Amino acid sequence: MNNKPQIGTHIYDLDTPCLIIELDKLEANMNYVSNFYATRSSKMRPHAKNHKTPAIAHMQINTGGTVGGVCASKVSEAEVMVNNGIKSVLITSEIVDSLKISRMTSLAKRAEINVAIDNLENAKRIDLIANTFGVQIGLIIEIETGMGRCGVQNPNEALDLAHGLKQLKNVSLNGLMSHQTISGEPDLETRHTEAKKIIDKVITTKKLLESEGYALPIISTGETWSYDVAADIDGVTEIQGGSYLLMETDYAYMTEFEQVCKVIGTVTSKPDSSSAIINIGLKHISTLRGVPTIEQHEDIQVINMTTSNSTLSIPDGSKIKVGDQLAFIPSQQDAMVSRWNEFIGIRGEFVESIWDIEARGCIS
Amino acid sequence: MEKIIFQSLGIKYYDLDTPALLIDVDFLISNINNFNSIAEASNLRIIPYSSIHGSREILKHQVQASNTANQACTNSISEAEELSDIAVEKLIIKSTPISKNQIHRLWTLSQTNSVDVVVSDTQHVANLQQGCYSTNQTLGILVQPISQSEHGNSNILSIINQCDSSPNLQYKGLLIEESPTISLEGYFSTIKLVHSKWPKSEIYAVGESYIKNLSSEHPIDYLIAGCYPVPDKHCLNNFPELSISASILSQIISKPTKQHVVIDSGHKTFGPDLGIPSVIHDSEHEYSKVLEPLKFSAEHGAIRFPEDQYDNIEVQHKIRLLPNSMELCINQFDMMRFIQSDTFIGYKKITGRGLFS
Repeated sequence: MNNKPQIGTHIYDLDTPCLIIELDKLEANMNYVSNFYATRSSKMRPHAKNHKTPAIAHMQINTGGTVGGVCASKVSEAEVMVNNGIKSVLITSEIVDSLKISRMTSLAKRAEINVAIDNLENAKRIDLIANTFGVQIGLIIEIETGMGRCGVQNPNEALDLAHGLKQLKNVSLNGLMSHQTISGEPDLETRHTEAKKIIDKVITTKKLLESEGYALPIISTGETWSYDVAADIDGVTEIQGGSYLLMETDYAYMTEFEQVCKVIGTVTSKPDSSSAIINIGLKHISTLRGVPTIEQHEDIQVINMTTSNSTLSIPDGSKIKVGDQLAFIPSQQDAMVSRWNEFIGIRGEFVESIWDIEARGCIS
Repeated sequence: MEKIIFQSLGIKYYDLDTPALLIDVDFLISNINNFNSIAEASNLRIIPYSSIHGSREILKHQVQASNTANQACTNSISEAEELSDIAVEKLIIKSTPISKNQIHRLWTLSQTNSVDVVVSDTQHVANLQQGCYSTNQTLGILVQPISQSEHGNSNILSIINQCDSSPNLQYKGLLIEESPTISLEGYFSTIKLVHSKWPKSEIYAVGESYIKNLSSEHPIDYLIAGCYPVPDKHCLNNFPELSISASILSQIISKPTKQHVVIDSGHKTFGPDLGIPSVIHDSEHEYSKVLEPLKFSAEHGAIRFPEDQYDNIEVQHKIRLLPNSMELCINQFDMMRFIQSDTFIGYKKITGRGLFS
């Protein structure tokens, strides 16, 4: 069933709910990153898990400031990117299943593939299958830096793993990576302090491995909240930024980036003078980092969300009425994007482009 | 859109690529039959609500069961359009189409299917009548109370009167849905008022949980329900007669500490906005019995275990999890993997997925 709007449709005529991106702001965020990294040796490796859309990945790479490739979270996401012409992918999750490893190694016939790793047995499986395919897979040791997820726990574990990799012929140790997060709304000084503290563990590990003779061309760390700090830490070669492009309220303190992506809904009912119902619910927007906010209506709050609708608290005297459109800004955007089939690109007030979110549902 | 990784029919479900949405057909069918018996005991006929699962295959099983009305309900107009060729007497659309285009689509759908649509405001009725482009079209109208007040009741009566004076709209009855602002008693007083003026009004209630709160002398005719074939944590708590038929198969990808592992499934798999999933304790996989969800990120989940179990849990092990909200979880997938007796028997597309408007 094709219910996509025609190019040129006015934003007020869109069927809602729908997921839009403002193209001027999208380009502004890309240009900002391009300019920021223009004079630096480190570069951005944009995370494709956030938008899952090859057309956007190509725009990021073409705009500049990147390593010329992307991160992908899953093999299936990497497949979509490589099948659409992306030439370098860092898969940031550990890939342990033989079927997935086969799929990943087959991609290495057409693109440069690096993958996160945190144990030797897994590396041996990758090596065995890469040998069958006659390809070389790059391994990036993941270092745990506070997320409580994957990764070796300390530099010595990384060194032990690196020693173990020496015996393997179809994989090569290409570097180190880490994820990290920060809570609240940190100011610039706090971001610098915290990011340096966390990334120092990666740099310490790098130095240890290099002292043992390992060459590590890729040191991949930093995220949107630390894109500027990590970029200037000696030894860091690439930054895994994703959220900066579409943005979310969780990163609202990063004022250099504009809010690009939002869900447009329509007020469907107004039960009384202090509440309204809108046709946006949990199927359409994630609450991973809190309830969404409403663009240009700081006085309206989301007070209840069901799967398909939300109840809004509106101030007495509000002129909001049935049929009005409101835009929800997500607290976290990539868990929202994965719920949709397409982005509607808006320039000014009109639809300029429609992009299928081609890696939607690619979670394996 | 998920790209299917073709795997042979006949393999054990445990060997499927992960994360995978598994549907056990035998439990699916027994759930449908069990729940229909529960509804029958409460003198209710069921109308399947397909937006929970988005699956024509599951809807087909629901419609074929006894005590099920030959109708289907969707949340959006686009989901109803997707079902327009299924053989049911009537499609009910629970969200009111608002834009001119949606209203045009609704009237077009009504030319090939009998359609009832839910409204809650006099403006909805005016918009629908205004959007009618052929004199011989008819649209059924269900009215949803949204406010428990005298003003709210007066609004309901105005809407029904407006329908009666609209040549192409036919008032059918009331639709009630669990609401933070209206109690069951509040609904019942509105129903009594409406029945006193329009005695043929049919009453539709949305959601399985209504059955739990009904007395034997209730006024509800139809129960619009969709979770019972594939119950989630919430539904199973309410109806222990049902069994787990839908689950997520996930794989352990890392064992970074002596107390936790990381699985390949997170928010983008479960949609855990209403609560995190539970690990299903599978008897054939002893390790599953000691695993407990800790936290989930967009892509991954951290699962903890007692330190003395460290040697029993391995990277590559797989576990099944039960989502807290099946509707939000299924919305993350494009495909279901149907299984029977632990064996993979086929892929089924989730045809209603992502059809929001």
